Amino acid sequence: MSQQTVSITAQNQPTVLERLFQVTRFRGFTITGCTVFSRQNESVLDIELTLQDAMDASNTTERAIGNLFNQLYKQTDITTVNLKSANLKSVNLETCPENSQMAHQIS
Amino acid sequence: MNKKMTNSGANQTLSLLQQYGVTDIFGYPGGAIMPMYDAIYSSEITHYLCRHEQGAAMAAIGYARASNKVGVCMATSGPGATNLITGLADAMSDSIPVIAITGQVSTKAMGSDAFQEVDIISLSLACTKYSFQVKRLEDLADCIHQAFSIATSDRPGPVLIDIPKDVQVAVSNKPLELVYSKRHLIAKSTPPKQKNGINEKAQYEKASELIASAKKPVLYVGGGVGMARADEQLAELMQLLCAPTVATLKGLGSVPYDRKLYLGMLGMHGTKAANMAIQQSDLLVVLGARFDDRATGKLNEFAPNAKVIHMDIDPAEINKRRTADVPLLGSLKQTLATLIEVVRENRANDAERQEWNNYCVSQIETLEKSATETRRSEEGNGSIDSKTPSTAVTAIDATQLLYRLNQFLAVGPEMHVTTDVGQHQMWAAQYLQFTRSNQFISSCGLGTMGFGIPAAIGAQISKPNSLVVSVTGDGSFMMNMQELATIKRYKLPVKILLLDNSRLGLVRQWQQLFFEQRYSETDLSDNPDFVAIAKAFEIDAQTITQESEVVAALQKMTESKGAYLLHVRINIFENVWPLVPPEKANHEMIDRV
Ligand SMILES: Cc1ncc(C[n+]2csc(CCOP(=O)(O)OP(=O)(O)O)c2C)c(N)n1
Repeated sequence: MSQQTVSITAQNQPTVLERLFQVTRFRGFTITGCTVFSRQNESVLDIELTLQDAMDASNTTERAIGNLFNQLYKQTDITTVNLKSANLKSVNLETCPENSQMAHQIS
Repeated sequence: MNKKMTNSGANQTLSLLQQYGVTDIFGYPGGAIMPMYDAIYSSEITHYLCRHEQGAAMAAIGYARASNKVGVCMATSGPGATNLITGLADAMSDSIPVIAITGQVSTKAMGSDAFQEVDIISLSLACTKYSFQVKRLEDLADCIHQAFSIATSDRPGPVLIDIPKDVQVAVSNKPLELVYSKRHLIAKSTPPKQKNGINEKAQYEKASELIASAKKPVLYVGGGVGMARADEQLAELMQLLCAPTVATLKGLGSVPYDRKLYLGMLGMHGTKAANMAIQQSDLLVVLGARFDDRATGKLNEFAPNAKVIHMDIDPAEINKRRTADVPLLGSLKQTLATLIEVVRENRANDAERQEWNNYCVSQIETLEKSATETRRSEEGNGSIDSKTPSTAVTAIDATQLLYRLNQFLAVGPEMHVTTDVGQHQMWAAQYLQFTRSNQFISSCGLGTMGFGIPAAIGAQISKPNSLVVSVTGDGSFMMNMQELATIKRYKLPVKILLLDNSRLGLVRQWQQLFFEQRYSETDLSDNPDFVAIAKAFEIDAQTITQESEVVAALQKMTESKGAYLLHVRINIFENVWPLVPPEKANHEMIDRV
């Protein structure tokens, strides 16, 4: 079990948080912390999620977090996703272009 | 006052749909959607009344899949909306652009557990790309604009628009125009999502090098080719690479069945030739496919020696189940064109490839022939299961019948086949011959029984001149057979081929093979009289039980002017072969037990 922090910016639409939580749970993570602030007349949300992965043996942490990253990133209202945890040095995601931004953040 | 002229939310909704080219809607009325139905009454859009909202949703899917247009369905709040859910999940799974419009209780009643109030937004989140609730008339145009944009862009999918009743009746004094979304502009002003953080050109070159150096390449064709309308580009790439090619269930048709080097479908019920080629391959060029578990079998033993070039529109599919050595993101129409250009300059070692190609082709002949022959001799005598008296066996072989059907399908200008889910679906996938994308319309990702008949209705409405045949099973047929009333009402010439083994065949097969022949709740031998049911809906129908009747019956069905139901009694214990057993790798595929 490892802990990760994901920071997200999103447009403040009615379904955005619910969808964020749903996708996070469905892709195998438990939320252990969450802060949300709005800015720009409440039109933009800054969200920080602390996550614990609920891993099964067949799934590696790297794949799971990469998958979560991509699944969050493709949501219509989510504009950026960044992984902040320091304990992910070993993550090798550069084969996926979508993750280059994330890999950047990790290092 | 002439109602047609009011600028109500309902009228605006229909006008906006028309501006997006919508000509047909599938739906079912009810309290919270009545203003929309009142507007439909004098609209130019044709509304097709289905007999269940699930039927409406699946008709919209069939419509979208046969025509590459957006399918639209509509339902009332509460139970009407929840009845759409299975259809939305199906569309989500197969990436089909569908717009679902639901009525909702009035805004002032929302959140009060009002009559027929259900939180459809929450219910739909897991099975739509996006869900809108239009709380103010001012937002309507914007929501509809975005709904079309979201449903059709990137990887397509379903979008729900929930419209409270008071918004449907509210009248605006502003003239209606197709405004560009405010949010759209906001989205534009924020940095665009980084689709590619890497040097694209370098990726293509890397791909081309992999292709040039591969000794055993295989082209792996998924549903994305048809969705991107990239049949032509695929044909060009095939010609250029001259490599063995396999297709997924949803990819069937994108490669014409008789194309040289086409090895058929891969996966659980694919051909041995396709699975063995993949297992030995050193390079998979994957086009619009997502390594579904039914296609890959045991994932960590799938194509163990192959590098992967993964071309897909959805970045989230890259590295999801199989790591890509080279991902190429974007619509296949463009990405394939680019790849073709690059590959053209970088030719491969042809002699080595020739050997691989010859080997793969020879596999089709030896493996498939022997598999078919063993199956015949094994099942022909009906002695597979000691618990079953051999008198239950009829002479009609479902796979042979489907094979025969090909000659009758090929005659017209156009044909579409829809299926339900089960053995009949797999046999249709194995034995029917397709030459174009989207001719085979099946619930591939979700595997939704009850899909076939409503999907055929939608396909027939979008393609009135097509010969539309729905291949179904006796279990699946009853999951949406109320839609026979829709076929009757609109005089749709849909042909239904009902392969009746009086069992939930595919489940029964698994019970036979993997659950010690404990046939729990799969016996449907008390089925109703299907011909009588069809006739009750004024649909011409016939039952056949003997091999000698097959050809004439298929001819009669396909040549009948109107709808037709051909009810075929097949061998109860006929199985789908070959098969990759659960948790096994694809090379462990078996011909029989
Ligand atoms: C809605 C739904 N419920 C249950 C299933 C599980 N299931 C898959 S195949 C099958 C049996 C289908 O029987 P039938 O339609 O008679 O087709 P056959 O396999 O006999 O050809 C069942 C129950 C499903 N796919 N969809």
